[in-house]
Amino acid sequence: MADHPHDLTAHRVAQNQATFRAANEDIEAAAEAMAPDLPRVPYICECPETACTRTMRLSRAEYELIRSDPTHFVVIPGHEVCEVDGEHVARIIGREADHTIMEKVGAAGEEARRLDRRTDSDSDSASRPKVAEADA
Amino acid sequence: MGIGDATDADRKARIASNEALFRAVNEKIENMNAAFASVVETFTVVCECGDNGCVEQIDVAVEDYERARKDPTLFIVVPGHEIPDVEDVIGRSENFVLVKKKEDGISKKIAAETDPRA
Repeated sequence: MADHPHDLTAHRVAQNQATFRAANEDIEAAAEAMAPDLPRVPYICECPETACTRTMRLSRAEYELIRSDPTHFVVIPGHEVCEVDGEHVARIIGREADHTIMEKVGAAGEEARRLDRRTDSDSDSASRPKVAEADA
Repeated sequence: MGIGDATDADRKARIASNEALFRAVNEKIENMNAAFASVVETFTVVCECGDNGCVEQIDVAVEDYERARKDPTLFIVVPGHEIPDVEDVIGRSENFVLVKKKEDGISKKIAAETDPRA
């Protein structure tokens, strides 16, 4: 499907970030199971750089808020990548002290929606990590 | 068991649970390298100490990381982040300290039960 060069770039970027996001979903589930009282969980930076393994601390409520939109990603400050191979793939929509919220745009946004592993079972809220009200 | 005993046990359980979670995070980080077929000699992991406010990361050789993971009671922490009443230092390098859960008590039990490679 992605045979246009721009589509290939968008696909690669979205695929990489979906991989990081999947890891963060697992981390969130592990936090729920192992340390539910931990106020801020270490999540892996979701920037497009595959070698990046930096982490940032967010409450589970903060991560869930970002995660609730399949085109939104969280990266550490300084890792905001809005353009890849000359293509505009993302924009910054929020900045906090220790993390930046990004939104995938254009073809990358479409790929992010397609790769969102929550989409198929979106109505199945039981499959999502539970976030205590107190975290919000 | 007195109140003091319960409090101490709770504290040790909380430390052990935090360390177990940080170890799970690091397993995910290592899995990232495999997912992207990255051939690396070192990678950056989170400190696996029991302090829930610790945000430090450590550059560790894959070989050293794998050696630590062979024993579910071993954890990699930043020098100075070891907690003497629940763990013993069994190795040191420039970047990290390798700690082992003490034989007795709940810390070792939680470390073993939450071993992601078990």
